[in-house]
Amino acid sequence: MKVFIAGMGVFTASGENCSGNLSALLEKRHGIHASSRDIDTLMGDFPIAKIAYTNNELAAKAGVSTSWPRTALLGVIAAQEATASSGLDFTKYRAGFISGTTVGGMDSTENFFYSYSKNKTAGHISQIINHECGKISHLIAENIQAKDFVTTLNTACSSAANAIAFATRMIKTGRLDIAVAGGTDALTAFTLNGFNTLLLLDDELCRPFDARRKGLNLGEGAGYLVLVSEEIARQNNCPVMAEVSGYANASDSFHQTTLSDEGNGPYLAMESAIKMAGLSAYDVGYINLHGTATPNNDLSEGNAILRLFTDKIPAVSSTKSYTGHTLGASGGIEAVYSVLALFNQTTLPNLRFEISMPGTELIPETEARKIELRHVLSNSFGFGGNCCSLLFSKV
Amino acid sequence: MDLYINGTSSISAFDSQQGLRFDNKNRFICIEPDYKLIIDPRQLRRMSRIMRMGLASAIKTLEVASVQTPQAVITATGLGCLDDTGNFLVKMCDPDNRMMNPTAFIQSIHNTMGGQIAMHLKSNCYNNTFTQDVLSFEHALLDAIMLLEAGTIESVLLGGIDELTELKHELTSRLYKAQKLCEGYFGQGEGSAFFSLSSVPSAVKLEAMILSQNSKHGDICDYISNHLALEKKTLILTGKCGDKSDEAYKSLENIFGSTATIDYKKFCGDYPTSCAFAAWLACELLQQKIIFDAIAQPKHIIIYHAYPDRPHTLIHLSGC
Repeated sequence: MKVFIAGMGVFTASGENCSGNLSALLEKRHGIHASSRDIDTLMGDFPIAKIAYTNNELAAKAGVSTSWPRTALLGVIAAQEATASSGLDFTKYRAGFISGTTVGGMDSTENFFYSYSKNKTAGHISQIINHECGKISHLIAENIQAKDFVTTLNTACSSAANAIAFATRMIKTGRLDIAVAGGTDALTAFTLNGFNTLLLLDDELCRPFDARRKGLNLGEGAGYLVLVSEEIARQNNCPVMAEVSGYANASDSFHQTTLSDEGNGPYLAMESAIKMAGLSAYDVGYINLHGTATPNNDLSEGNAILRLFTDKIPAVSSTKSYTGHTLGASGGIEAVYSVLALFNQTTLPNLRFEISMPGTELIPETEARKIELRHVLSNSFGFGGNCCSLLFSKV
Repeated sequence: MDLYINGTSSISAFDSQQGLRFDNKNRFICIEPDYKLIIDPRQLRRMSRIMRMGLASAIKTLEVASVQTPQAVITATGLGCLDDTGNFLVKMCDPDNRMMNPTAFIQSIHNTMGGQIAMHLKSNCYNNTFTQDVLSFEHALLDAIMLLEAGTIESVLLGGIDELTELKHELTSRLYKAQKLCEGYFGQGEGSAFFSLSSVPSAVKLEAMILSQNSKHGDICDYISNHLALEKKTLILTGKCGDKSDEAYKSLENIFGSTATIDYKKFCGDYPTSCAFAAWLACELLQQKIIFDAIAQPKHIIIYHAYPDRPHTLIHLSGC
């Protein structure tokens, strides 16, 4: 059974919806304008891709309670766009919501802890009730009426990609008719400080796949696909944007926070996703890279690409140069970007690339270029060595 | 496709020899093994408590199942690595003593156990982590079932893990008090239970798993009444907590009739992935490794969870 994409929604610092994100990509406008100090005044000054709205503004936009954690607020806005664009009435089908997140309700939990750390009896306990990752999905699923199956994956930065793969399998095995799948993550002091203690943040704008890259910029956002079975798409005359033709999950199994130099996990994930679709590496026209701009990720991913695609490297680019690294949401946002590239038959420019990485000599796309695309690969790799690649094909 | 559990191991507050570890704060605390006998001491030094519990029960499970390298590793955790998360948060939120430790951040992520197991096994196989509060373990089991039914692999390592920390205990107690939930409550708990699942016949068979669609649990009612009409040697393990949340179980209790029933959280406490403990206990009971007075030799065990405002779940295991 084939699984199709019948709707999409995306919300990042570079665009509020699919069309806003697409024009930002084509016009090379990034969203990395804020400072880590806007979130944590005690931190050093690092660029971040923060969505300009406050939580109250987001809640008003989404029509939900202001008590929701930011991760849920960002997620529900992208999920509402995805749902509306599909034109489907979820209540008529078995509809599920499958989402990736790494921080869950951490922004609200932090507010509690700022009071609690001064006085053990202080803080509003209600601020921690939505801490769990699963609570975020529950809130969003209820809002968009995709309630027949709700689950959450947390495989660090590949969470949303794994959510899309799992959702596709739920439809393929006949367990769901429709699944809204992707991920959401808000910027928090917890993740900013965490990546800072690991010395992974660049104090300038990040430069994915460039020889002089120094690290990543963190971002926030959400991206969801509406996945439907062939049957549902036909019955409803859905505007099908692409097919989920392949997906694969592999462990790099090298180190908790770094990938192997040769990129074993990335290689296996890409290779297996292509194989599942019955294609060869030569059929892939564009890869939306994981491309975090850390020295380790880009080298490992580059080496895996060189090994897999050998003499015919497809067009590649990292759109984290627009959105920052949105962690658990990145696989969802980049799945939407990959489908936008495929649907519009264009490559997406990689910003701030000048000099290729020694050893790989890979040159990412730096302009939006019209190109004939049939198959697009989207890569997501996370801490714990959790690698996931998704393959989208033109219908 | 028929699926079987061919090995299991657990770390919990309950030990068939040592009894129950229950402290004076009404908490179920894990009885931990001597990890040095299971995990390389050099590795052990860098591992948090939840990582030790997870990796040790994963290793033991594979030993029991005589599986060297499973073809998929799936973990479930409701709250993830709470101790490291708490440590990092507390230090971050204290402006006078802001000494944040990168290790705590690295190890705070929910998939830490899954990643550790993959590295220990030097395995590049499928690896996934589910975190849907009380349903996390059932969803991980669903993933395992789908992988095995697809027929491309024949062995999955699956586990559910959650840890209880001082901070969690303190904050959750405050929350329960605020929600007036604490009366009769069995107590908070923790644990790690792993399973080796396979399509090759073995001592315990996975007869069924049913996840109801939200609050519509007609399927589960029908399944239980049909089963009980045929099989008398059945034990039901319920996930009751002892407090007023147990009201969610009322709708099915008349169906149970005189069937032997045990509230399994009296042995492990309440925690998001306690269902994994129940499945471990069921495997032990079906193989007569543990014997309870309520029913000497159960042939079938049904693990039933009812939650207010959440789908109900059923896992049915049988002894072969």
